[in-house]
Parts: sequence; structure tokens; C-alpha cells
Amino acid sequence: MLLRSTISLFKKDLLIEFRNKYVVGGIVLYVLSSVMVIYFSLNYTDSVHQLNPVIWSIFFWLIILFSSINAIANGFFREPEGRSFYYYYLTSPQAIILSKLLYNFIFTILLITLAFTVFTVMIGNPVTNLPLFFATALLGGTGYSFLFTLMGAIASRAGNNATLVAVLGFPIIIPLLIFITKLTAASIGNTEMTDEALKNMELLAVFDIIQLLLAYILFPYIWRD
Amino acid sequence: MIELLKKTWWKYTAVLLLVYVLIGGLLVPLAPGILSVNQINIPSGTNGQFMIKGYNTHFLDAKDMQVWFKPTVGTKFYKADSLFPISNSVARVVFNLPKSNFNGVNYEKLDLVANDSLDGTMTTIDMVQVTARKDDSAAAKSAVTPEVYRPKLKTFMFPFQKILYQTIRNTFYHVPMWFAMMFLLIFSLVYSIRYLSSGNILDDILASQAINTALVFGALGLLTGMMWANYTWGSPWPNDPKLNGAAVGMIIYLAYVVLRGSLTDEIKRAKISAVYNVFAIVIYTLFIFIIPRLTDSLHPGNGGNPAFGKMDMDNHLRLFFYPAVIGWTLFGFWIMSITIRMKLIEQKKS
Repeated sequence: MLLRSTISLFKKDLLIEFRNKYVVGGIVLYVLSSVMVIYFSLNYTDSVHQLNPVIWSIFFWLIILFSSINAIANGFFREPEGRSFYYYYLTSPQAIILSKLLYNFIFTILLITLAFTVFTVMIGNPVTNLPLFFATALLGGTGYSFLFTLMGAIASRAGNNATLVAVLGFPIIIPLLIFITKLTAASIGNTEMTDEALKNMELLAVFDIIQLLLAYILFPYIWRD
Repeated sequence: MIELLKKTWWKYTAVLLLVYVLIGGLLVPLAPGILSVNQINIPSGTNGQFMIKGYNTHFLDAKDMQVWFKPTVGTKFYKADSLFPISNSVARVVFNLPKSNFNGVNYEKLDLVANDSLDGTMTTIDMVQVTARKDDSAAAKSAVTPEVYRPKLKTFMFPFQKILYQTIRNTFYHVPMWFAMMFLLIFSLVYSIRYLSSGNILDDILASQAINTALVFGALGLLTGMMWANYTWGSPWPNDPKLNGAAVGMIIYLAYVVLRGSLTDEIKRAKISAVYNVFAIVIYTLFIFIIPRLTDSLHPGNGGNPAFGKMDMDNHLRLFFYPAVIGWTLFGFWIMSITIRMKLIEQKKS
């Protein structure tokens, strides 16, 4: 029952998205414009090909951060007031949060793929250990999407305040970012999976699982209104 | 719970404990120890002369000072060649370690062990390094078994630790602040969960005021920690995961305050902040306790440093440390009880 409601809510959100493409459009626009800004700044100072890998990593993850906040927060705020009432009668809150988590997860992965492709094409790609980088991107993207989904849910109850999503989410994303940047640095630096990289990935995975569980347990309390 | 918070017996206890910790913590002297050596790199086979500086020591008064050098690995003790105590805290030592004592290495790191009948045995690790000279062909020095004087030190003293020296007294302020913050956060977690199941607005008031007080104690913990780090680790904010985790924790709870401020409907505010509180505490515990243990950290007990080992926290310190923890925790709850009662009066008025 839970699985069926989750899948049908997810399909509904996907259908809405296919019809008006707000989220995908927002993501594409954000990524392309940011990369353009970076590319032009580098171009006019003649440093496109000397881009420091560390700076590349910083740009990449910052752009992912801001795009995902944008996409996820707006996803929640777009629901009109009356419709929430309708969902309350139809399905359980767990189904709602699971479908939102899945939906935002898919879009964050899409965002990361797009950003990585655009980055590689326009300003190069210093990654030497691709499997490690993709694993990091997967785990990190999951972390981003789960966290901002829950924070978006909280903020949508607090008057659709987009700043609030950032205020609530940033402190918790900071340690996540520490692991992600460590792992990205490892994937740029060496071509083998070190023990430390595996340890960091385990921590990221544990963090994601904890967020999923907390979102699942706590969302019904936010929803009951 | 509100009735318990209004009682005064535990508040008097808090004051007594804190006065005891304040006076004792500042008056108890530090145990004698070796502070520094003025020349730390000696070529082998030469009569290396250097001055040892001690702290709270009685090199001259004791008249029977002995000094041994011991390689860090192994149990061989080499007696100093000659020893001239110059004052109670400075002594001149001559020591000669030929290359034939090294087991095929280029240099030997030595620990220093000093002993006299008034100060007992003082050890410092890694004090001196002897580098092998190519033209050193002197015969090997023989090891001795040290016979130490073990006086019954009658005075009550705090342990002497390298790097920390007198700042070890900060253990009574910095660590209990964090304990108090943890206890206040656990209190707020309990009442947040209670609110989610009961809906009683009083539970929400208790939880939110606990967090406000916890923020104050967290800020104090950070300030005392920065002051301590400035003198022991060189800078007020060295790159340490526990410090970064603590700062992030503070920001998480400041975000809680912002969240509460942005909601006007009382019931909605209570519910949403209770949900955020539960989420935040789990994440906070993860950052403060688990992550520093797994990465390298400067803090004791994390990242490969032994936690409160025999040297860091001996029984003399414990006699003041446990009362300090209890005293500061009770003090924190006292402050929280006042804020709660203020909030209750405001509520009754409106």
C-alpha cells in the first residue's frame, strides 16, 4: 500500500514536470549560467587551462549546492494550499515524503550529471579516478537531496520562506561538504581507492541513511495540520 | 518538572560546588616537572652540555638529584656523566652518548628522567636528540638500572603535563560547559518528543528555553576552548574536526532560534521546532562525538589520542572535575528554570 501510493505520487509529480518543465528548466538555466560566468572569467584572465583542481572542485560543489536548493525549495512551494488537504485524505504522510525524496533524488542526480558534462566540455575535468568521483557524486547528491527535501518540507509549513530553507540546511550541509570535498580531492589526486576514501564514503552513506530515517519518522508530525 | 525547577536546594548545591571548584582549582599547586632543555640536538660522542629547567622543582635543596636518559624504545637507562644543580629550577647536565649505542640508526631520541627526594620522579618524553657523528668511534656506554627515591609527596598537586602546564586548570571550566550543554540538549530532546506525543504547550516552552540556555553554554564552551587553544595549540582556531563540529552545532541551534522566530502561530511553531530539534540533536551527536573519533584530531580522546589517560586525569584532578561538571550543569539548569518561569509569566499575561 505504501509502495503503491509512493509510486503513484511520484508518477504524478513526474507528469506535472513533463508538462511544464519548471524544475528541469530551472536546473539547466542555473547550471549553464553559472558555468558561463566561470568560463568567461577564466577566459578573460587567460587561465582556462591552468584551472587549479581544488578550485574546480569548489566551483562544482557550490553550483550543485545552490542549484539543488533552488530546485527543491521551489518544488515544495509550488503546491497550492488546497491540494495539501486533498493529499491528507488520500494517502499517508510517509508516502508523500518518500515520493518527494525519490523525486528530488532523481533530479539532483540529473543536475550532477548535467553539471559534470557541462564542466568537462567547457572548463575541463581534472578527475583521475572516475569511479570514486561518481560514487562520491551519488552519495553526496543523495545527501543534498534528502536534507533539502526535509528542510523544504519544514519551510513550506513556515510560510514558504526560501531563505529559511538555506538557513536551516546550511549548517547541516557543512560537514557533508567536508566529506564530499575530501573525497573529490582524493579522486583528483590518486587513481586508487584508499582506505581513507572508503571510510569517508561509509560515513557519507551512513549520514544519508540517517537522514532518510529521520525524514520518514518526522515528516508525519509536520504534515498533521 | 516545573515544580522541581522551582525548588532551591539544588541551586544552593550548585553555588557551593562552584565556589569549591573556583577556589580549589586556583589554589592547588602544580606538581614538579621538567619544563625545557636548552639544547636539544647533540652530536654523538661529544660531551653535550645543556641546562635543564624545571617547574616547581627543588634541584638545589634536595642535594641528591639524579638524571638519566632513556631511548624512547626499550628500557635502557643511561646515567648523565655529570650534574650541577645551579638553582632550584635550573641544573647543568653533561651527557655523552657514543654512536655505538645506536642500533644502526642515524639518530636516537631520548627521554629525560630526573629524580630527587623532594620532587619524586619527573619524566619527559622526546626531550633530546643525539645525532650520529661519522667519526665517532668511542666505546659503547653501558646501561644502568636507575634507583629512584620515592618520597611520599605530602602535598596535594595537579599533574604536570607537557604543552598544558598550568592551563590544565581550564579542565574545570571548558569541559563542564560542554557537559552542561549536552545535558540541556538531552532535556530539550525529551521535552520535544513529549510535546510531539502530548501537544501540551508547556513541554514546548521547556524544550525551547533549554535550547536557548544550551546556546549560551555552548558559546562559553567555545570561548574557553579558544582561549585554551591559543596557549596550548598556538592559535585560537586550529584545524580540528571537533572544533569545527562544535561550531556547526552552534549554527544548527541558532537556525532553530531563527526557525522559531519566523513562525507566528503558537501551535505550528511548537510542532515544527520540535521536529527540527529531534533532527538537529541526532545530527549534532553525530558531528561532535563520532566524526572526530574517526579522523585525526588534536583533542584528547579522539583521532588516536588516548582519552583522559592516566596522565591527563588523575585522582587529584577528578576531585575537582566531577564537582565542576555537576556544579556547572546545575547552574545551567538554574538559568534555564529562570527563563522558563519568565516565559510562563509572559504567557499568563497574554
